[in-house]
Amino acid sequence: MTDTPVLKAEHLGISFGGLKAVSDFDIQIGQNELVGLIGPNGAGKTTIFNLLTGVYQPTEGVIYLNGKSMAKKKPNQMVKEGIARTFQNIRLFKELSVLDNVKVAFNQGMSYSVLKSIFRTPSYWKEEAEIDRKARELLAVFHMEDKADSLAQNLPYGQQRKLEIARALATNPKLLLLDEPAAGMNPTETAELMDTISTIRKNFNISILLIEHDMSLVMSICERLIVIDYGQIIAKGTPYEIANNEKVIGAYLGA
Amino acid sequence: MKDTVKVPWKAYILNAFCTVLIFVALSGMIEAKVIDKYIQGIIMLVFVNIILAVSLNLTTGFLGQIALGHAGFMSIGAYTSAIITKAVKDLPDGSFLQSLPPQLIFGVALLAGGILAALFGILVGIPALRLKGDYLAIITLGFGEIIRVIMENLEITGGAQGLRSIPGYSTKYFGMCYWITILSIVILYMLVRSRHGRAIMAIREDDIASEAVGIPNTYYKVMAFSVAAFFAGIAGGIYAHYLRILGAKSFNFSRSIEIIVIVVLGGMGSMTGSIVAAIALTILPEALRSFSDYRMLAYSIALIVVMIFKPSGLFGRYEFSLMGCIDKILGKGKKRSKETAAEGSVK
Repeated sequence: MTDTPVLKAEHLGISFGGLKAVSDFDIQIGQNELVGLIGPNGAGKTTIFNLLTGVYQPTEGVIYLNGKSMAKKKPNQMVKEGIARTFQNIRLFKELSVLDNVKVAFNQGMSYSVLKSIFRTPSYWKEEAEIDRKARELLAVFHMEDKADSLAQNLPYGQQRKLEIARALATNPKLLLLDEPAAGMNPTETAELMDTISTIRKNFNISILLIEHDMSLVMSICERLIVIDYGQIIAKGTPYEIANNEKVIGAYLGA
Repeated sequence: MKDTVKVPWKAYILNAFCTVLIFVALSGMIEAKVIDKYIQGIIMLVFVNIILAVSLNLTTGFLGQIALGHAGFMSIGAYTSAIITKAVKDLPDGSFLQSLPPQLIFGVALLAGGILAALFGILVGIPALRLKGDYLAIITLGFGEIIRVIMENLEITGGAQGLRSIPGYSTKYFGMCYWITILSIVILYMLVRSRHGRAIMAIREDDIASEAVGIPNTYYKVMAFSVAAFFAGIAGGIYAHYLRILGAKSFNFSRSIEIIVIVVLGGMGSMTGSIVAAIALTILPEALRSFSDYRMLAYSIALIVVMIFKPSGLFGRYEFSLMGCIDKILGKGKKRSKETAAEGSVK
């Protein structure tokens, strides 16, 4: 991997008052790589996601996306730069249709103005038709095209997760952050999710950073793992190395 | 894959035809004196309330932020436009501005009122919209009261006495007010059914998620807020030129509440609902006059009953579509896109 990494951060840290939630966090993700972020509850995994997506501004360190500094960027600007995410507790636009959920995410790539929408100019119809087609195509990748018109809240749990991923992909990201995508899924759904994730990597050519507690999933699909505890990295390496790392076993079992 | 987004010409033509039909019917009845001055006045109030309710629905129903200061924006529009038309009327005879058609002056005055209200909307919106829910409600409420107090104390607004002998353009140009109302509904409807409207509704559904898919929340919040203020200003202008007297008392807190009641009763997020509720709640108190003292009691009971049996409002988030209705009657089965619902649903 000779070109610039998709994501790079060094000595990233944030403190809330006196509490150092995350400190000295280094990460580097290459093109089309799938990296797992694991750690016990309360270790700071979601905080790291919030730092990487601009929800929190780091008190130390800078994030680089494709070599470009992301300092002081707001979440919606981060999305524009190419970082998309899903949430641990699903956050869909519940009372909008499945199709509209995806269309909202296409918004930043659309350009017709308020006036053009009021006068329904040709550019309005052109862009709307195009977005409609794109959104349906994206849903088709997730085998949800027949659900396009139902409300997001009426989807079964597994499909809500998928829709959230589809919505994140609609923003055309370079890096996708998945926060516990398999939480609350049964083994069949988890297996299906693993398929979905590998399809995404193949079709969309993006890098993925994944938080997950389901070790079988993490071990089987991630190429590299980063383990954190108390806001600090305690181990890095391949799934095999991590599984045999004493520090990691200690953190999980409380030794 | 079939193309699902295309220009619904049929629906446009049908809706345009219906609005013209209603217009011809109304003006015909006024001409034939079937509608007397009293009823015409009520219809004018219906227009004003429709614009107010549909515009407030943008902030309350579609953006999901409770705003209690709509009467404040309305008063800015009312005073601004009244001051302009009065100034033109008081010019010495034969001056250039007086030679212009009064419709034009009325239109420009309304527009000026709307724009000033929108500017205030931006001004108030930027700090206020950092908050949400109850906090925002209280801020907007405070803002409305501030406007009222300022209006009562400025010289240009006639102080506590208010403005008098405002030209009665609204009654005179009934047709113009009708078309302004239709235009307001259409503009707001077109805005809501676009990428901008989708973004606004996404903020209502989940503001953290909307930001996480690249929606600039602050921009859209302030935009919705100021667009709503703009139309409130227009409505205020029509109201001023109908009443012909303005006192700051006409725009107090209870006026804002009245508009909120219309929106909630009709259904937050349904323009059809706002229109129907605006018509019903303007006519109801008048129709109940024969009950004299029990009038407001009956009105309140009607509200309570609706809220108990239909808490999401009369229409929920449903939009009426004339074209969809006809398709259903003709048994074409498949529901059409509701693209042009608003226009056809007036009255």
